Amino acid sequence: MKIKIEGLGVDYGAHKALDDVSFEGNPGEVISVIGPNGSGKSTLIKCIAQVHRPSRGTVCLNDRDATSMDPNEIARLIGYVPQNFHYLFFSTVMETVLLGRKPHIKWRISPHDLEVVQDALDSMNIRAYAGKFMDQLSGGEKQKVYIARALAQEPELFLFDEPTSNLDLKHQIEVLEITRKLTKSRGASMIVALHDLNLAYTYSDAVIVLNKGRIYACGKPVDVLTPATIQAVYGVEAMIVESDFGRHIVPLKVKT
Amino acid sequence: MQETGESRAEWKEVNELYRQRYLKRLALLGTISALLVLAVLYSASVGTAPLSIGDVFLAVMHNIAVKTAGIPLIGQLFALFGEPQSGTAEVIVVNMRLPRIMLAMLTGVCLAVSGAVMQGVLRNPLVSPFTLGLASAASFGAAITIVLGTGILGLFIAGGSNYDIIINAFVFGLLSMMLIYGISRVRGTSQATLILAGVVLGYIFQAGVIILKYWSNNDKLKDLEMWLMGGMWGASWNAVLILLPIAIVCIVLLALKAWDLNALSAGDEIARNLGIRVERLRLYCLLLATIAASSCLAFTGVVGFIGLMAPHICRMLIGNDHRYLIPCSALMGGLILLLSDTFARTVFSPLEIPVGIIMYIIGGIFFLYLILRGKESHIY
Repeated sequence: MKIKIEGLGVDYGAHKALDDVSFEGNPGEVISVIGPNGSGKSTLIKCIAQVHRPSRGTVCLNDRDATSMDPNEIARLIGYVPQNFHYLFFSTVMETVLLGRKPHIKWRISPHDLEVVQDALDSMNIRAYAGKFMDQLSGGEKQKVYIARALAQEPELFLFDEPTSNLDLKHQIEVLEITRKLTKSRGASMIVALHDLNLAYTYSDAVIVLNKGRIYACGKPVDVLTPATIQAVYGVEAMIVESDFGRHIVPLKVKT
Repeated sequence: MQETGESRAEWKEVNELYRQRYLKRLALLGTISALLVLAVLYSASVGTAPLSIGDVFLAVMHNIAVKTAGIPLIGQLFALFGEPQSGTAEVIVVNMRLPRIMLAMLTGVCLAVSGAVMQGVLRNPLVSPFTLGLASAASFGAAITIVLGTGILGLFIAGGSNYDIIINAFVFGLLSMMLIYGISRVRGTSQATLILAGVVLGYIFQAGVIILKYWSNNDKLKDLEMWLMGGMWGASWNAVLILLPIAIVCIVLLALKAWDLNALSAGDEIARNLGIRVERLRLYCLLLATIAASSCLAFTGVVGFIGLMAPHICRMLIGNDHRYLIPCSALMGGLILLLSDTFARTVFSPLEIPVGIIMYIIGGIFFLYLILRGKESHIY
């Protein structure tokens, strides 16, 4: 999906959580948003998802202003997975993923809807849990279920707020690899807030570095994720190591 | 995350799983419906004058035959059944027991559905029409009429009929919701705000009831206490005819929101992402649930726990999908309250005990059981 964010700003009283954020995204692109805690990553994702109303600025999806769209129309365009979610204690995994079909249905579930749900479960490798209850799952399993729910929504834009926060190493890589592949194959887009700089480096086409609600740097990972940027934004000295497997960011120590 | 022993090929097809769940749920709803029918027949046959179930059936059929005598075919059809053996059966069943059965069922249905919806909308399994201050407000309304002998704005004069108590209780029940709505306009509609507002309003109205109790004389105090205990004494066909359309409209409108409620149980943010106007949905559902609950409470007085217990049981039996949870809660609420009321009027027959007290006992035991049983509470 074509995304155009212009002059986005969010005020909490006098505090500017986001200020003058502008960028563009093209179909098939994976954009990571990185930055220290409280830099406005979640707020930015929420504003794009239309879950949070910005104080200023516009979000254009496929050249249309999102604020003028019907909520159900947005629901068919954007699949959002928040960082904190409520657990559906008495719902099964299948039912939770089925929620993703809500924008596409009126009342009845068609065989096609169930197929989409099955595909979503298969993509995340969690069909074995389909009949399990949400409160019987581990934190990481739940996170994958919620991502599968967004997949079942069949949106043109995925918005993930730290989708790997509850996952172990293997599943972090797995989730990002799968979602990236799906984004590419569906011609969708993906904006993902991440803490891990190496994951951001490996899996994104563009990186946005937020600092205190403003864009500090924005561009290709190789240009943006430099020791200078990391030091300026995180206050951490880092070095880049080249190996046979690519470039790796190695944090060294807190800059005093 | 542990690997499962099954290979991919052995994973269940989702449509197969969905169909299984669907059939299970239908079977469950069918079973509860059948139990409800049996409970109605049983309840109509027991009492100070015991009747056979056959007589109950014939009494109803004969009554319909008499009423529809003018209509060709239908009238003749019902006339085929003949008359019950016991001469008084028709009067007892049609004029006395059936209205009471209907009132008990309707009250159970409305309180259970409104409890289920309130729990869903506020994502809190301990919410019921009572935690949100509705019952206290209705009690206060009833107390004003009973003790001070005046209705809302002094329009109704007590003593003529019970209807001024009923109307006043209903109006105050709605008022509690309006106040909560007003608070939410100022402070937003987060669950915490709404629950807190409900609890606080409940205390204020309770204080009002206590003041009125303190002021009242012995007779009025007795009347008020009886109202607060809750019972089905107010049963009449008029009451049923007033409640039935309110109940049907409210429950159908709420059931139509089933998908929205499902989405809301995944959290406000996900619900918004699924295209739901969360604030609007919350207020809409709370308002309808309040109308359904307070119109019943107005006729019966305070009948506690059913709005908490029935949805709880149903969630364990049928899951959180509101497309099934709402009808299941309705049936379960009707069943539990009907059985409790039948018990209440027959156990010390001819003396009756208020069904409200029975509900407190059953509800208390039920929740003790839940606590002792622990977390594993999925039955289906």
